[in-house]
Amino acid sequence: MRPHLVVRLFLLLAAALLFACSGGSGGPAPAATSPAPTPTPTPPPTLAVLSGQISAPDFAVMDSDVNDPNAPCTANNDIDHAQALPNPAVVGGYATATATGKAGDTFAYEADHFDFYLVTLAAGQSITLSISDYSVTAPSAVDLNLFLLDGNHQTVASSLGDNATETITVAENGDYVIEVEAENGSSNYVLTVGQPTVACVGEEALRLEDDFVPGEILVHFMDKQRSAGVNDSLHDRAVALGLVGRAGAPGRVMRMGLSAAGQGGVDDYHALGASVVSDEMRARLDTIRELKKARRRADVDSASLNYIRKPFVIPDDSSYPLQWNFPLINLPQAWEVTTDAAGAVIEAVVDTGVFMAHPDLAANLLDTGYDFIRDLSTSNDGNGIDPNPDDPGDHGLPSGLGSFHGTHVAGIAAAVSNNILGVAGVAWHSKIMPVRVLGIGGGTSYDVMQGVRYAAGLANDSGTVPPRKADVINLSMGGGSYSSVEQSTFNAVRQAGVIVVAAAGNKHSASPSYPAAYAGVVSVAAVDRNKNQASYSNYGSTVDVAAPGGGATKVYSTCADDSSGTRQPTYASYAGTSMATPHVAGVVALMKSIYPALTPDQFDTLLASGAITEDLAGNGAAVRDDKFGYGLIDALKAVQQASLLAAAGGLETPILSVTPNQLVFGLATTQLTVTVANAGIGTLVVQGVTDNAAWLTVSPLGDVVNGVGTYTVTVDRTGLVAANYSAEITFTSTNGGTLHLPVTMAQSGQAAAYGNTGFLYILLVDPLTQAGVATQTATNVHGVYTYSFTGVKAGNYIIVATSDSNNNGVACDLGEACGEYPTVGLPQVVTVTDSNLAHLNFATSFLLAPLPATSALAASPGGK
Amino acid sequence: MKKLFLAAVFLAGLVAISGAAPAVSPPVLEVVSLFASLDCGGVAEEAGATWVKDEAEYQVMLQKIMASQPGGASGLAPVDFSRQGVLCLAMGYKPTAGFSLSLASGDLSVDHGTATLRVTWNEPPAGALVPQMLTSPCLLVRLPRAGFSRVRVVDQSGRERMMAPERSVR
Repeated sequence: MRPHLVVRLFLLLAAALLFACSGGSGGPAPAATSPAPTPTPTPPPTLAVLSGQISAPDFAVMDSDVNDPNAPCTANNDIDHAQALPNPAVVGGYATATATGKAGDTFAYEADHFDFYLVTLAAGQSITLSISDYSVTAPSAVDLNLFLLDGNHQTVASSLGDNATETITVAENGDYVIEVEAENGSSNYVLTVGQPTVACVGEEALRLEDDFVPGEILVHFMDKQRSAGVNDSLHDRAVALGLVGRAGAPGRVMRMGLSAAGQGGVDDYHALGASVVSDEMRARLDTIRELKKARRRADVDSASLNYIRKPFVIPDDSSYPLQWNFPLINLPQAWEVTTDAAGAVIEAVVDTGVFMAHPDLAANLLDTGYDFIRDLSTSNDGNGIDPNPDDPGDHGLPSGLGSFHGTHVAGIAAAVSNNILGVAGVAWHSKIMPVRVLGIGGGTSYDVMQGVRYAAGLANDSGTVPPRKADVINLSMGGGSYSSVEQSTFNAVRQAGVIVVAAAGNKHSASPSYPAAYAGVVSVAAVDRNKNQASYSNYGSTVDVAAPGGGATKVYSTCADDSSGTRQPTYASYAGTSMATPHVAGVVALMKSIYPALTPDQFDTLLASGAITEDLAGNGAAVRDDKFGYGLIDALKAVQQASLLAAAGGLETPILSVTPNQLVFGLATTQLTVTVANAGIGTLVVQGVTDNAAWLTVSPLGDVVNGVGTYTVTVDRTGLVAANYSAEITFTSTNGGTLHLPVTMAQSGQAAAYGNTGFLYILLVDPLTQAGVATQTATNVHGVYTYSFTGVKAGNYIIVATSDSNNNGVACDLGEACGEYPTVGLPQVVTVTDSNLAHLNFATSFLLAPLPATSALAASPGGK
Repeated sequence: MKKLFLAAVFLAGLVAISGAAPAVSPPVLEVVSLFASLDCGGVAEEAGATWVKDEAEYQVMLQKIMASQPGGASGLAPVDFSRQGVLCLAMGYKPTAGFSLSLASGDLSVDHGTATLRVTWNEPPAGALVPQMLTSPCLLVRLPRAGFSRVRVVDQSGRERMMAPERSVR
């Protein structure tokens, strides 16, 4: 789209001053300025009439007090005079922190410090303030802030950054007051309510509600030390800012406090809305304002709030501090997303069995495990294949020496976690299916294959399969050579949708180790606590991924001690690719807890894309190397990718989906439609559609089958008093979940019934000179502006409509209403000959400021 | 059972025998398994037999070994270093489980100043699938200070696995 032709077209103000706006508590009215009259051209032989209508988009609202003295003006400068908004709404507005001092402006003698708006909002809706006159090079020169006040007029959310946009997301349904505050400078703005907007990533929002230390800021000065002879200490630097030095020193970050008296000297709390505001909230506002003052200083390199950083999810297991291996792969952050709280995922540990009585494992152990060791000389339990996977030890002597390797591996994958006791597991609540295949001296590939087949729900020598197959199989074992029979087994397991992970081997060799080296098996190498390749770890072309296996510092997990002759639950530190493998299996379990349909192919694709690993080799996570495969498994990235997969749909199970995600009935709206669909795969059955409001009616249309299809939602305002109403429609499916659809409805008196882009100037423009030829003004009538130019000479014209919120005489500034015939940005020349032209209709909308470029972001305060 | 104590040799607290015992039938001494583990940590990363010369050295060794033991050091048979010694047998660093060492016989035969210690030496069968955990198996045995200067360690098949040489014995 080409730029507007008229962005710098000065208005020809033909209209007389209509009336002035006090801007709040009164004050001298600006002097009326009589615009120069439009020269009357000599009538040509043929004159024509150009006419049409200009529409304002639905939900467009004009700030009721802007700087244009010709525009109608109603002050909205405090809560009691908040301007009602529909939801959604797009507001074109203007605010100024100080009087403009310019004769003819509405706010020549008094600031328009605040604009308040009243609106009913739904949880999850966003409010975005786009500051039209924001300058990347001087971000604090024009600084508008955004506040959200609840029904008690207390600030519940805010965005006070030095940014081009300020954004708030609504936490709960309710009636709110939105406040736009001009802290510095003056600007047009566009306030978008309840509609998605694009915000700049990486900007610091500066929210009152954020977790920071009130009364403290962190400051780093440009100069490390001052000139010789100049006193330079923390105290001296703090005094220069009007603050109190608390910690640090010149040359590094200093912690400074606001002075006790007046908390930095800012005493204007009007921005907080309510007359009664807590001392803490005042202190928070003071702190942010002091921070912004510090940032504006030329000698300050950077300044920030003293944020209180809380740890991510840390389980209370007593020995968790020994588990260095979990933070290494960002598990605490991943646990913020999921711990498989539902215990929905099954991890098969095909190994030496598991000490079933271990108190830190028992609750997560399934009773569907099996023992596939058929040789009585190695089984150590006196029998062959049986349904008891309990690990008797793999040494076979009364003196003990059992490794209880499977118990150790199971604990890494899914120890009972956050239970005060012992250790945590990667997936706190996932279930372990213990499958015993390794006895004294190890095991045979045949027995291992039987165990793997059993875990995957495939036919095996036990003559049975588990009630539910495993989601992931952990094989912390290796040995032997390639076997086509084994490869066939793993092919079948993969075909069954089961992900298999196996240890790459401990011989520090490039020789393939099986089963890890089989196609379709995820081969896991080991790193130490410094993310270096473990000295023992195998490497080579078959390695897929790395995980913590330990080195000098080993991996601590559940174990058993049979040195006394009877097994006792205990914990031990082991090292090896055996230990690395269950980290990956556990991460797979976490992913499957979010996205149960995750397939081996999808997992491989994610791995190969570098999306779920940390690059350790320095060649990019998407580039495989022989030491680490695609890198160190990253639990956080993995669960995030699983979330993306889940959000993208494509699950093998039905998913209930309802669009739109909210219904907003403006004053003129009585009926809307809702589409209920299946975002997954399979057959979705919606068995119930209910609502909780008498004024609401939900009716299926003819395309609804099994409850899936289109519904009409109708509101009946009969007997309802003027107010904003909220309700909820609940869609309940038998197999795809339940969704609650928020509904809001405005009853008369609460909001504008029609779109309104304010007081408009309509111009005829010479397309060659870009000069205005004639101007009309128009006010909104039921969402429409009507214009008619008479006595128009033959010739070519462009028709433009604009507001002038900042009263600078320039058409179509950012934040102002702007329209061109027939389409804004693509004006067409209207040729007048000897006949009238009617129905030259077009629309206006508020011009949004473009987002700053990336390079500009880097220069912004948030990018410091 | 004849036990010889040569105080002069034991001044340093070492188990050592002069080798000048009377020519009688080879004595059979009692040997006690003190402790065995799959993972004796840094103490046992090199294969071989090492004498523990005194109580202080023994405690240092135990501390190192027990750091990686789930069961701790409780329940070990006592050692009187005035008349007994401790021998540490280590298989060395192993890349997998499946390796272990245990005492096969409580009898220690002595012949011409060389004692023979019988152990069960386990290794995983070739081709077996084994847990991929690092191990360093070791065995601590208590021996009497009597009648020998070297200890020959043989496995269940009679194969000599290691020799605690005279120098080490001291």
